[in-house]
Amino acid sequence: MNLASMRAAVAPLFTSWLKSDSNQISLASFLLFGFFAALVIYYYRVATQSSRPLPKLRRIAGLDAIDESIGRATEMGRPVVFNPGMSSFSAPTYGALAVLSYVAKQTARYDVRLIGCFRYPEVLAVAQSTIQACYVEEGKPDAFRTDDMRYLSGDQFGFASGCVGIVQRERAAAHHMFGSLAAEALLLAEAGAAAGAIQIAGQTNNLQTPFLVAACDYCLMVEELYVASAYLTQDRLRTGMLAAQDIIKVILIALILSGTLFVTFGSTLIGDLLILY
Amino acid sequence: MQGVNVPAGITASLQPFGIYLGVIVTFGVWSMLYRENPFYRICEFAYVGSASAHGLVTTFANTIKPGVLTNIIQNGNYWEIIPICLGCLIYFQPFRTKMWIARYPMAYWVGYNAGYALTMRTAMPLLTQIRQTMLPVIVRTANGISLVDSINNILFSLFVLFTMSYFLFSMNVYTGRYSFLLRVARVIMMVAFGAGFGTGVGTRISLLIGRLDFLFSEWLTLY
Repeated sequence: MNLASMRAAVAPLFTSWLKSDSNQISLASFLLFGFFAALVIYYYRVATQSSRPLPKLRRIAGLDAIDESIGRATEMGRPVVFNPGMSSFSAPTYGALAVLSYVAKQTARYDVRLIGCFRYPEVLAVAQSTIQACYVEEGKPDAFRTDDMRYLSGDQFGFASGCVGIVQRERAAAHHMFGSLAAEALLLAEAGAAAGAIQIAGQTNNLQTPFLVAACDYCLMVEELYVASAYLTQDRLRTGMLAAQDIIKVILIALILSGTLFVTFGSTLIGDLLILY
Repeated sequence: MQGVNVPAGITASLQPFGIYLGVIVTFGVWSMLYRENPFYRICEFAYVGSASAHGLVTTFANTIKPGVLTNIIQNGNYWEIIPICLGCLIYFQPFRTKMWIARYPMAYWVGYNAGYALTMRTAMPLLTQIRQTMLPVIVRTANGISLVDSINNILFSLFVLFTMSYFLFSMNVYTGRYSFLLRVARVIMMVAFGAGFGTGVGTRISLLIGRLDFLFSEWLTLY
């Protein structure tokens, strides 16, 4: 069977299937995403059955260091400053809020002051509720201080200068920056370094990651931010989702490898299966 | 947003004041390089306050005013009162006993964004990126095989695969004798970050040059 006849055999897979405003997706791509969804559902079922084993997650130093930084703040009697990023509700912000809930539980447990800096009022409201719930869970509802949840400014650098001032004035022992950070990333990291804070950052912007790698003690790179909630809580459901995502990544790696081989031998078959119109 | 018409004479007479204010604030912010101090604090609070005020005014002018005046009153889209009412529930947030009411608009907002992230718009860039990663590892040209392009594509493919496999968290593929692969993937990413760092520093230097240009040309009028 040569490449041309192979292509003819799978011709229906190239036909357009789903349509959006500006794009159409091929049947093959639709089936691929359907399979991904089925994988996630399968691992959801596995995770809900406690008798079935789930894979163990690889060690991530940046996440292990969160406890270390809170311990340091406890010993020094200085606050932890948490910055959940510059964007409104988006995937990195959800990742940051998951880390925040863990940090809030730890600060409540060890009686460490937690200061939050926020750019968007809606994120502030959700974070405030999350932190309050954590303090209640730890049996210390009165230790939660609303005044420490600070809305600074909707302006990017107005927010950044406010954060810089807080980190410096409060002499933070730990500075956590998670979520989506942009051009102000280095400003914030430098302020934390000048205050002598142990700094942990985790964000998904490839342009800013270099600055955080250089200026922070620990840096979670790109997707490690999304692993944080599963890793910190060791929750079965979240670990299951992660296992499904890893299998999806392996499938994508296999697709890229086979596509590269096909293209090298002059066929765009694999690439065309994933075509957009 | 409508501006205020200021006579040209007043604008010209205020210009030196603006320049001196710019110089003071520039030095105020730079004083942070030494340490946190009252001078920086004044500049910080002025900036944060004015940025918040500006945000309030622009939100009112660009969102609330056209939303209420134009869409509801003039165009008669009365259904838009529903999301406005939902949004107003957020103002229950500061009241401890009624805080639960504010969770309804928040739940809607969070759910909407999570749902939006799962649409086809997310799938499109993924498919495009996968297709664009499929490059021939032997590049043939009219003159034969291009060695440079082939090596370039081989390195590109290898780096993509190493980096992707670095982010496999639940599969212990990098254990024992293969643990060096994790370090290789990390080195590849660090090289990429180094290049990004260099580019970023260049951009920041251009911002510094802009500020120095302001000081030397507009304040000191050296050129």
